[in-house]
Amino acid sequence: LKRVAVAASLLSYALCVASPLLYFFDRIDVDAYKTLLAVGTVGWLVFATVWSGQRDTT
Amino acid sequence: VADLARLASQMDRLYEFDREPVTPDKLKSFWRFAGLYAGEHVAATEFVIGAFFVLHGVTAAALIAGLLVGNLLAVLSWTFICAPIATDTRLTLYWYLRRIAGPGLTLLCNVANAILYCVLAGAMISVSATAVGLFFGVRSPALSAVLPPSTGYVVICLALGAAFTTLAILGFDKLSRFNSICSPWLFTVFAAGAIAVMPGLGVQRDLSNLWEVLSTRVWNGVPTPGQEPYGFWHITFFAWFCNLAMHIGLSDMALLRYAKRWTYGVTSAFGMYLGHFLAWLCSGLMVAAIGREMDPGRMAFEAAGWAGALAVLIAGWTTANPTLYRAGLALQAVTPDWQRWKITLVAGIVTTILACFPVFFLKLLDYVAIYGLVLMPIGAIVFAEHWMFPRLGLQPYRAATIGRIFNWQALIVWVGTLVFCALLPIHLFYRWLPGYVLALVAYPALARLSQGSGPPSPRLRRGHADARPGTGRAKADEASS
Repeated sequence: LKRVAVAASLLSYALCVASPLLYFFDRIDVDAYKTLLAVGTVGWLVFATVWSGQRDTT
Repeated sequence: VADLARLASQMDRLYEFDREPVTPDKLKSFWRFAGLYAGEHVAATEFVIGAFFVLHGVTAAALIAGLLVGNLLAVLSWTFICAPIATDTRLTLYWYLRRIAGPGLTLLCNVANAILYCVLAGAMISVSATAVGLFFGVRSPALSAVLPPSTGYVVICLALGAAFTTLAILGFDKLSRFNSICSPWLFTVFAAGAIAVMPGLGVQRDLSNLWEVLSTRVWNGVPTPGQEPYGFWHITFFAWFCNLAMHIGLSDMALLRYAKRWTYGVTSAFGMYLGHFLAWLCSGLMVAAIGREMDPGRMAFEAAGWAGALAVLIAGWTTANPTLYRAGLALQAVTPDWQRWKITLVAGIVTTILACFPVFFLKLLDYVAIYGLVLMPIGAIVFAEHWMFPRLGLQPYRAATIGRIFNWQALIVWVGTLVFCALLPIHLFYRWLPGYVLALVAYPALARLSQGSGPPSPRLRRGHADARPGTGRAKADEASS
């Protein structure tokens, strides 16, 4: 579970970082950027919380 | 005096857990401090402060130069003023001040701190309210507003205040952990919002006209009507004193006493240059993109969508929560026998009422200046007693030696410095520095008058009288760690 949480949180974080850059360089439109950022946000807040909980129990 | 002694004793019990100096096995690494500072200084206030610089019409060059210099001065203050005393004594400011100023003055200092914390937490609730208001069609207050702009705004502030207070009562530790999870994400939302608004402001994809856009459409030197124009020195001093209570005021002794070396004070640069440089620049870009309207919720929503609005809400919450906790802790001293939940509830109610008045977040820059100013003389008193007294042949820690409730010299210097600062005919941002110098001179002078010119008594603190960072006791600590 810990590995999944780590991978999912890092992926979510990467989505948060990449989405504005993709929008700035005109690869996606503004709605797609905001959606990707929202998805990345939810992913990070959920999986990083799980990751943090796992780290404390191990 | 008997009542005061009883209250002081009550307060001592609250802080009992950190009464002893930190032992070598508890010291933390350099990178731990870097992470702590980086997380602590990317908060809800950044959404407001960076935006206000745009409204005050600072130029791009003055802003960047001012932030670089001011933040450097702040880092140097942490490194050369706060960290050496923290690593030398390994005590919190509370316990060190208690030796110097006596339990009575320490109590007063705590109550002042609690009131200031409540106002700050209230401002954070107001900031969060601007994000929640978006979903209910409640307009944010105008820039000059003092009173609540609408019933809807009051209802949102009351609801948020109730929620934040409940969460503060239920679980401070869990929220602290959640805060550490949010910090890197919050910084990303700041950066994402700034990057995303650039095309709308006219920045080319190859960034070829970036500077031109920044200096003509964002920080163009034209203040919003009703706002005082700011220049290089305003920005420099603001960046320097923004955390005055923490570095010059020595509150961060609580943190830096865990540092292996005094040089760990430089880790504050991670907080300053990520939070008080990049995040401020990012919020400036975002407010320019919405036509320079001071509305943190709408600003973040326009720039980063739902994630932006959520960032404002969560940033307000995670900033207000520890502030509420600290206010409760400080106030608990004057409410003997009250349980923690009850005093946190009272602090929460006061904070929530304050949050309904938008003036506190709309005057945040001035409030930050006053907050630092009020606690600055305490830092000067401790600095003088720690470093100057041994060299001047003065006996330190007289309050502890004689068993005084009040160190009257410290009280006179504290109040006198504040009166002096209030009367100074210069801008609010610059007043603390002459006040600090005055306190550094006046406190040893009053001590000399009180003590006469007799020989000093042996030192009471752990370290040697001449202990300097990297020498004496501090070196022994490093070796043992």
